[in-house]
Amino acid sequence: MKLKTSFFNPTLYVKNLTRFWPLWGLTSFFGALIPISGIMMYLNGSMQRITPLELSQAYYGGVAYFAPIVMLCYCVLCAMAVWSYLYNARSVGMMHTLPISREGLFVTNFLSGMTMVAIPWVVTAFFCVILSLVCGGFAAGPLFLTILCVFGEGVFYFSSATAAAFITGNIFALPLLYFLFHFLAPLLESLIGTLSSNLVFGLSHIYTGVADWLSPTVYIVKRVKVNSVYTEVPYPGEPNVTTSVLQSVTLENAWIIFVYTLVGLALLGVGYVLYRYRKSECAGEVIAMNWGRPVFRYGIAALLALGGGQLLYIIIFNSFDLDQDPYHILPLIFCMLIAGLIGYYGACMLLAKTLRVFHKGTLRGVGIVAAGCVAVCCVVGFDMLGIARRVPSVDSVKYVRLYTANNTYYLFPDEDADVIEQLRAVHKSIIDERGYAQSAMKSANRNESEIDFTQNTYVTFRLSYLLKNGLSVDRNYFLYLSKDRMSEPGTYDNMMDSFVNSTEMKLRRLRFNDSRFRVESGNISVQKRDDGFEFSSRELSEILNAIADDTKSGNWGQYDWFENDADIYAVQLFFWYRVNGIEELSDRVLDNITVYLRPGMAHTIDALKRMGYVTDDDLITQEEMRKIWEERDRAEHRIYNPPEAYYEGETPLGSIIYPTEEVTTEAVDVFDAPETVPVTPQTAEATNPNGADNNPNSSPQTVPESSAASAGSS
Amino acid sequence: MIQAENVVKLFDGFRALDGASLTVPTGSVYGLVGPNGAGKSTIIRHLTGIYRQDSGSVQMNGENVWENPALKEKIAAIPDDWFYFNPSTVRDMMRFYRGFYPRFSMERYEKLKEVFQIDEKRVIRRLSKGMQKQVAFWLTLCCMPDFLILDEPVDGLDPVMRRQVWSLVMGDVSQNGTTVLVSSHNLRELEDVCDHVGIMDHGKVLVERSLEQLQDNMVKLQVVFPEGVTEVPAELPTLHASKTGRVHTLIMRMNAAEAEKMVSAYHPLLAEAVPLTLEEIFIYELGGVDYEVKDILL
Repeated sequence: MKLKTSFFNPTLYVKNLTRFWPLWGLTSFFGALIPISGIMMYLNGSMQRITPLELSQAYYGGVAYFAPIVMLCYCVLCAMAVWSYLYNARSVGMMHTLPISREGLFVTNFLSGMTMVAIPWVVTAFFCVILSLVCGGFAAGPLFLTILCVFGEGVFYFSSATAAAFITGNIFALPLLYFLFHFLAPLLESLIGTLSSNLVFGLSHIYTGVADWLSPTVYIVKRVKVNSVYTEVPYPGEPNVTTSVLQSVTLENAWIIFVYTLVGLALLGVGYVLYRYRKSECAGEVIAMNWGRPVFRYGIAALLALGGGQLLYIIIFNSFDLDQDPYHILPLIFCMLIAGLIGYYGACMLLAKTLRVFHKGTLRGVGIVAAGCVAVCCVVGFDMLGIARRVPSVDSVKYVRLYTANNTYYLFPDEDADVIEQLRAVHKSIIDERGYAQSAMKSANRNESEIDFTQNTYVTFRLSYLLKNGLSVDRNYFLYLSKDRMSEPGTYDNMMDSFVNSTEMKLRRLRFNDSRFRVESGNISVQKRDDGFEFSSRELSEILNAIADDTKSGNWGQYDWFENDADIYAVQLFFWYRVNGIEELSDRVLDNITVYLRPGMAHTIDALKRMGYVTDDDLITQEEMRKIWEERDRAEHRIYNPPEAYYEGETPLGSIIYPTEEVTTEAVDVFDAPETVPVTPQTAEATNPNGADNNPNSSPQTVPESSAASAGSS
Repeated sequence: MIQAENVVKLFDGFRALDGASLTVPTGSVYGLVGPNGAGKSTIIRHLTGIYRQDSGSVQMNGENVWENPALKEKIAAIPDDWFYFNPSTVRDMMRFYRGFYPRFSMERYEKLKEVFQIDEKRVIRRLSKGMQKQVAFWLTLCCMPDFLILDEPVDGLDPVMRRQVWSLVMGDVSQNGTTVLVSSHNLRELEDVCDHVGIMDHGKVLVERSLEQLQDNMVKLQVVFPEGVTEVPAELPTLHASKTGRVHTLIMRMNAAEAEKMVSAYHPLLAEAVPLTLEEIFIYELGGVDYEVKDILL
């Protein structure tokens, strides 16, 4: 029975569902398996009763982390099914001969596709409800929210697949285009980031995710969170033992799914318009619209030039031992051109459905690709846009974040205008000496084994100017410093040393009396005993005051850029700060500092002794500690590489060979010593990222994992 | 009435239809012939609403075909490669057609089951090409269309089934006034069923007349000239002349009476007009302008 309206045809709707039942049937089966297995586990006693909150947590987890990825893959399969008739001349002919308008075909096919998307979720939800009823955790509100969110995600993903379906006339091109659209933004950011960081002095290759919103799967998984609040309560029958109890569960940033649902509806409109103007004869074409073909041709060329060009550069030129960083412009142009032309001609072949595309008609395209590659490399490589030279003025800055000398500093124009000016001067001097900075690093990399780290060092100088307009200017310099240049006025070495060791910056280092930083926690590591303790809040305050007294008396705060571990005790103090008053970081524990205990820090040592955390015996220097480690290494070497006599039967197989007697005590002592990471110039920052007041290149140090979570790395 | 006027269609710059015009009177059977690549299938796809013309108009009963579901309920078509859903049986496809065509006749479906004798529960994919074509006819005729558009419809059918199918189509024309447009290379077959003919080439309809008009416009005259006249007089405007013994066969572009009058001036011993076949008409219609006649003939 035909419906009077031409917008929906029940015959076609049912036909779609019956034709493609294996797709939604199999997905429903796998979806139902999860709650069914839960029911089984509950019935055989291997799972406890579920509270409504725990069930809500599971629902929301599905919405935030599971559904986007499943929808991403499943919706494109549904789209390939319901729109498959568009990709074959015979089927498109038959469907468009039928007495139904394109609106009717569009609406009916979309609804049948959405039904196919929804069925597995309905089936899964049905079994989830049974599970919740069986296990006693039914939660109607969260279930309703989950259904809404999953439906919204379904609308978005299926609509985006529908829009992609009308761009192409080839069924195999549909999933490729769909995934390309979904992940184009992060891909481009990575490729452009790699290229520019290797061509622009000071630009670092850090994935910012600034365009993640264009990649909804990434954005939803990153932003939509399950917010679970637990409280500690006494364990039933055990008043001295506590257990965590789920107090509340919310779905954070669920509005993002709602926004993407609206975007999905907009994409659906785009899909409809594309269908209205789609020509039936484009069945089989990679790109259905005439205007889309040059976009595809040059888009693929650009993507290949960026990605493939850099890959070729790494394979070809790095194999010839050219310096990896930065890129050399001419070889890069060559590689980008080769990859770009491969992309261009590949796209031409796909569009023309023939390999015979090398003719005069494509020369114009070759010229455009070549000009594009040269232009991009020259504009970026020769800094024609002035990116590398940019140093924002104090007026335009909201605040500046600086990471150097193993410490993070925050400077505000209202209070630190002079300090920021000094910092800008240092920044300018680094830019002015770009040539020297790059050649010195290359030279140092090549002759690393010959470097005397008591006279030279590597250092990270990372700057973030947060601008008043909301943007930020981020620069990251990995610099080579030498004692000789540090004594020469005007060099960046000299200016950095003067700046970091100025009185203002020393006080900044401890965040003393800075209302924006409230110390949250702190602990001490005593390396000789391989022991650590957490300070109480009262102790924290006392120790920070003691360090401040030492700072005022000049016994702490002078940063020594070079290796000098005879002057530091093998005792470190770590302090974590909660940041307030900085909008972007507000109320987050993001910042920490590390204080290395030094012989002159009488106030601090006295306080620590009084609290019982250190004794005179613990106060050995890093140099002495290193000797102990070296001895341990030798002992281990003897154990794991025993003399040949061992193998000749003098010692029974399986027995333990202990070190010789004079080292036994030491060896046993250090067997339990913490695992160490030798600090090389490359790993210096990674192993000791923040807050150390001395010697990034000193002897092996034990760095707690948590210290890596610094503001600078956030 | 089917009417296409100055239809232009470009495929990547190539003019597949270059101002094609045709008119199919209501209740007539219109044969569309032309060499390969002439544009026959392209204009048929316009008539069935698959393609949209770049310019010109395609109408049936004065209504545009494009995006006109109400009109398309009255149009049924069998393309040269009929589409069916892959795992479908005849019955499945019948249900599908029935869901779209409001005039779909189950009564006729049952009647035609006897004619075609194909098990309706068989999967169409497993049928031979000829049987698939029979299924196409079976279902299409059940749609009870006012306009039947057929593209190479009887390819793959055996001679008995061809006759059967044409008989069904002719029955619809005579009983229901169905307007039929059929494209074919088989001129001998078209001659038996068509009352109007259009010849297409290079995207244009070159000639479009009723079969009577075509036959009236050209004559085949068998002539025996008197003793001494061995060659056809040069004054006679012949399109083609051949000789078997003393009998000359002349093809002339005029009607029979005019031709006989013109020949009588030479006092022939015999002058008799014989009817031209459709094949001959096309050969001599197109031969003068150097067309690849062999392409449109079996």
